[in-house]
Amino acid sequence: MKLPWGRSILLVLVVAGTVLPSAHAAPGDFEVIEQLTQVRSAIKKASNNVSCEVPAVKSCSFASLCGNFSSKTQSMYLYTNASGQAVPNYSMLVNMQTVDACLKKPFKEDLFTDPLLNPEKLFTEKAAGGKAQLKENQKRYNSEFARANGIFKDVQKRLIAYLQSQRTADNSAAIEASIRKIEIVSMNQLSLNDEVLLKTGCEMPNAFYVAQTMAVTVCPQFLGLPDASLFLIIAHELSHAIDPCNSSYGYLQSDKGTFILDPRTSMPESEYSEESHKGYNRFADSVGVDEHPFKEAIACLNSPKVMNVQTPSRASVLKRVDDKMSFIQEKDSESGEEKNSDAQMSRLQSEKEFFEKHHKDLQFCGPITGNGHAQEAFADWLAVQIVEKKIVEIPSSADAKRFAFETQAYSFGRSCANLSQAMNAKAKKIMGKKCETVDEALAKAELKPDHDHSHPKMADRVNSIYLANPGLQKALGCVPDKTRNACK
Amino acid sequence: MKLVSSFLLFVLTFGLSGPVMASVLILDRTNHHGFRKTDILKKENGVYFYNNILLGKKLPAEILRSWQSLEKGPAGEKYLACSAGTYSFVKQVKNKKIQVNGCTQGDNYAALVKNIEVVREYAKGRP
Repeated sequence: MKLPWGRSILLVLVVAGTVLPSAHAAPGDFEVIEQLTQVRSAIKKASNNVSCEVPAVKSCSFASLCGNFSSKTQSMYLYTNASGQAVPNYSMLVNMQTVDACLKKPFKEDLFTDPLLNPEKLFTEKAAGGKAQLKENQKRYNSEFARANGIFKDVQKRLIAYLQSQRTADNSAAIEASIRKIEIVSMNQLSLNDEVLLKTGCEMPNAFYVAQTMAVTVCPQFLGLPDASLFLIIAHELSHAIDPCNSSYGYLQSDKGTFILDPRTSMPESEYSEESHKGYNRFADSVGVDEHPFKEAIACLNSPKVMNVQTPSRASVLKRVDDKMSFIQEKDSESGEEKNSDAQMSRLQSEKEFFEKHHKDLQFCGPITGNGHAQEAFADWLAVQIVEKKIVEIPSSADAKRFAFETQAYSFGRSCANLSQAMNAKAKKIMGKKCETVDEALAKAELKPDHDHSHPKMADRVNSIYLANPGLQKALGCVPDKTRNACK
Repeated sequence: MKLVSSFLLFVLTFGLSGPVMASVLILDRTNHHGFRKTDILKKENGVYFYNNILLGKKLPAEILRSWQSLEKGPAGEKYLACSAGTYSFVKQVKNKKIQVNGCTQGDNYAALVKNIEVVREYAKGRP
């Protein structure tokens, strides 16, 4: 009999009706760790045979793509290509990290040993397992970054060529401004320390574009992905530079060749002075929604038949700002903790005035309106145009299929319901009542996150944009969903 | 025997207390690619918990400093766009709840997560 004393005392307490914190009502650590050991061993065994084959994709749908991985719920990697570039089961990575944290990291070695998937191993000797290993890990980061940077330059060149090809007499100025905005974007090579990684949003696998710094960041966790996955990720992020929100911002250039966002297009008048951009000249103009070179595509993407983007009304956005103001006032009067509420109130007031003035051009800006779907849908759409052009250049149909498949592959681990549900259930089973799952904790706190509307669902994005593209459909050899039409 | 006595001490100290006085801090974030992470810090009847891991009634000075900084909530920063992702920070004391939303980027966010990490690392080393 294991743990007789602990068990009988626990029983006595439960019978007596004593309320215990749930951490102490869970099974003994020993049993949980034994269970986890078995799970890890099964995962390692299942991960030995990762297919290099591109599976047959019957219908052009996300569900069909995901269906190919039903047997991979136990595997750390879902796919590896001939170059050894692999697609991790991100759902497993995140869930197993949660389990490890809950059980206070019971194993010396992480399940996923790749340092790119455990960025701590890129900046501390302790996590890396010694000085020599740390050096080796950093060398790996630098080499994978160089690969991604090469892909970035290729995508950038292709995107500019695509924009040139869309130039007409009517949209010439908007195309010129868009090309300039793409030209000044670079890849952000991270200084490897934890603070920088946190500041840049790499706490979890991530990639993003920042308008202020004109940079695309691809976090270490994505850098080991196949070339084609990186191609799509980078094309998407680079496309954000001219999405329907960021297009409305202009850029200025100094005599020394440095660039800044034109404050006149990006912030309320009260927040800048003429001094703030003294010595800077116009470089790329603001392009409003009505002048956007892809305004028809934006309207199509936002339509009910495609992504059904519900752009919040002017009144509802203004109400949102009013609510924020009330919140600050309330917080101030109740707790007295917020000392700079006057500054915050005046900032919100300026924001309100700025939005009232530029509502039409800012209506697609996620952080302002609370809905970023139009930005994401556009970035997906422009990225797939570039992918389509790339696929056409691939002479072999087998290679074209592989490229098309790998563009989508990175999202399977996180977004395929069959994979994530299996992993969530496994993690929940191991942790039992020892740690609350995210859903349990959030339900208890009645938390309503503000980020529900930041991104459309991946399945909708893949079905309505990526797999609606004729070039991708042809390369994958899948049967198109006739109810979906690609936006042009 | 050691197990029994420490368990009984735990029960006598915390288990038979009166009404539950709890304050909860939650940092919930979702990044640009949809990955989500949540940390929950709870103080119940004077006892500290991190993600349900018992930390005890007293925290070492350094850990307490981080906890107290977290209780103040995140300092706001202004961005044109939450490019990297967004967070919700909730502070719940008794029935009163304050929720602050922001971007998962910049110095203030890094400071917030650093404080969470101090508590998380301390929790890992708990028996």
